[in-house]
Amino acid sequence: MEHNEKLLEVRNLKKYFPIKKGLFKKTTGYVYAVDDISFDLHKGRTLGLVGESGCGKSTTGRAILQLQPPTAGEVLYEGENLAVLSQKQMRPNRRKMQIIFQDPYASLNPRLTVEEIVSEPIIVHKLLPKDQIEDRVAELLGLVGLDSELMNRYPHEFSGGQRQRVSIARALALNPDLIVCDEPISALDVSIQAQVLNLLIRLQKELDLTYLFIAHDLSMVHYVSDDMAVMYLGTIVEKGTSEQLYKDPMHPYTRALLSAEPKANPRLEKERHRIILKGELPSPINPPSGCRFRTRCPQAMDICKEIRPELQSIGDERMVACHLFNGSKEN
Amino acid sequence: MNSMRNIFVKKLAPESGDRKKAEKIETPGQLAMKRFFHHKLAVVATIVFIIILIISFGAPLFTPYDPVGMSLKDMHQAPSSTHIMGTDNLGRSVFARTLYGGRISLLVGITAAAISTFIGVFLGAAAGYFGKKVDMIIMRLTDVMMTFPPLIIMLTVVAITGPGLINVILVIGGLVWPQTTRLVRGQFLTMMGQEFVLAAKAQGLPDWIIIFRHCIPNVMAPLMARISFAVSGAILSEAGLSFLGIGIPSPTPTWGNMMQNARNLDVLQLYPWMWIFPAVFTLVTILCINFIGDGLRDAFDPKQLIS
Repeated sequence: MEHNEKLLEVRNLKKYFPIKKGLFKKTTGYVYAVDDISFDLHKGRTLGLVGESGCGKSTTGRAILQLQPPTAGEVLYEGENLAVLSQKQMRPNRRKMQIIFQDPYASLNPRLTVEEIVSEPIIVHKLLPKDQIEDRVAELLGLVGLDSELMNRYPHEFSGGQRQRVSIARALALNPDLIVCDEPISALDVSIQAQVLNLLIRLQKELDLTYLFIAHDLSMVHYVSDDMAVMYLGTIVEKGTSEQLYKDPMHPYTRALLSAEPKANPRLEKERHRIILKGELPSPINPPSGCRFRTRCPQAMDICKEIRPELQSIGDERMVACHLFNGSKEN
Repeated sequence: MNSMRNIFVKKLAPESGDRKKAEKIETPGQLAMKRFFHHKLAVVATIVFIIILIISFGAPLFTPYDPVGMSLKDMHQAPSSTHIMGTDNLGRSVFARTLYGGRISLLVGITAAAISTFIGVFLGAAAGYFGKKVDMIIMRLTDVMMTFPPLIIMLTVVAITGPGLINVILVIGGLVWPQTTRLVRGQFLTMMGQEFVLAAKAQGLPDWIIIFRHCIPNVMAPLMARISFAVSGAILSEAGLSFLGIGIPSPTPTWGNMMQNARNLDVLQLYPWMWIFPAVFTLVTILCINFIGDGLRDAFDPKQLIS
């Protein structure tokens, strides 16, 4: 918690996907995948981004890395706005930020050996002379807990957990400061999930990494994150330290999410009062007016239809976007 | 939460115990070979095709006769021990002509397919990878190309440039690439959203490395099937053109211009050996190439398991 330096600032980030129809590919509408979100990433800390599938978590991660260029907004990395850079200008910046994907079966090229996969970025960015590359690959594999003798193997010879370790090694090859972990453990077995999660935590300490940890499993995010942001339909509804959010959720959506998590202790499980949300996730093509959550919110009011609630501070680092807390705003 | 903590506290065994067991490293290439050899029909087709290649390109070793040397006293002989496939209307050995003709037919097939594959992959990869305007221009071009009826265009072009080996190869190769382009583009489009391509982009790899090292090897499976169809299609096109008399002109033998004899009713009815043998060779070769293509497609598909 000693770090307070901002590594990445996301300001009013928007990513709309145009819907094109007809002979002349006229744009008839947009999918509002990410609609005006802002947050900061502090050096050496982990921000957990949670939300149900389709809420724009992954798109946010990809927009930050400029893999899907944002429609509007700023992505300030150490003060430099990445959103205005061309792909070519972005290239040198790519060394500083990497991504780990969800599916370790799809994220490794089946036709390259582990050594080729891990060494490729080092060679392309000319980070090391040729004769040192093999040692570096061995070092990276050791770092992620893989035997360096495995470097001549192909991905198909590895298990899911091992593959994910290879993708972590590949991400580390460029010595990045920021790693976007896009649901890095949801495709793995539960026992392997814990190993990979602990590996990520250990690497963060050893290499002073900053994580943007995207997941839909609240308890996992709580376990790894210092801060947490909850997304719903392209917007952030609540933000705070993960302890605060977990102990005392304020936004009705966060409360519903947390109540859905089963408790291991049978006595607590019995007491658990589950808030069941009605209806389906509205389409991001045609989001509800005002507050996006109002169609499913158990505490919806008239004002929710008209005015979109802003993300407002309600005391130390805590922010909520909900009209219920209009009065409690501390000035 | 308690259960989670327990998982994390537990001493964890290494993920896999088979690190030492599997010492032999199988490259994807070796795996592909293995899969190919499991495809019995493809293996048989490969053997037959290799035999056809050997007897065509090594023709002088298998027949003493000159494929263009006429001998009017030997006209229209039925198959016998001296001429195992008989002779044609100018007394030339049909066996010799079929073997030498195979050289030309196979040469046309393979080079024309190579040309169309090269153009097709290049344009398809560019369209699929860069998208937007590049895609738009290339795809409209292929749409236009595909509206041309190939045989008519070939007739026209050959009528202008005159018949000949090079012209036939260029015309066939230059006309059939749109199918390959569409195939490669489609494959690239699905790959663009895949995570290993995104990972490569996130690492800042240059476009050409992503295209050649990460994407093209992964379109090999369907491309192989496409290439085999291109080869057999080109052999058929050449046969068709030569049959119509606008392909490769006599006296150079090709399977197509040998079958041209069958246009004569007497030949068709009385001297069937003059056209049956080249026809059978064409048929067998095309079947073999298609089976080999099937086998290669399965072999290059990493998702195919060895049963």
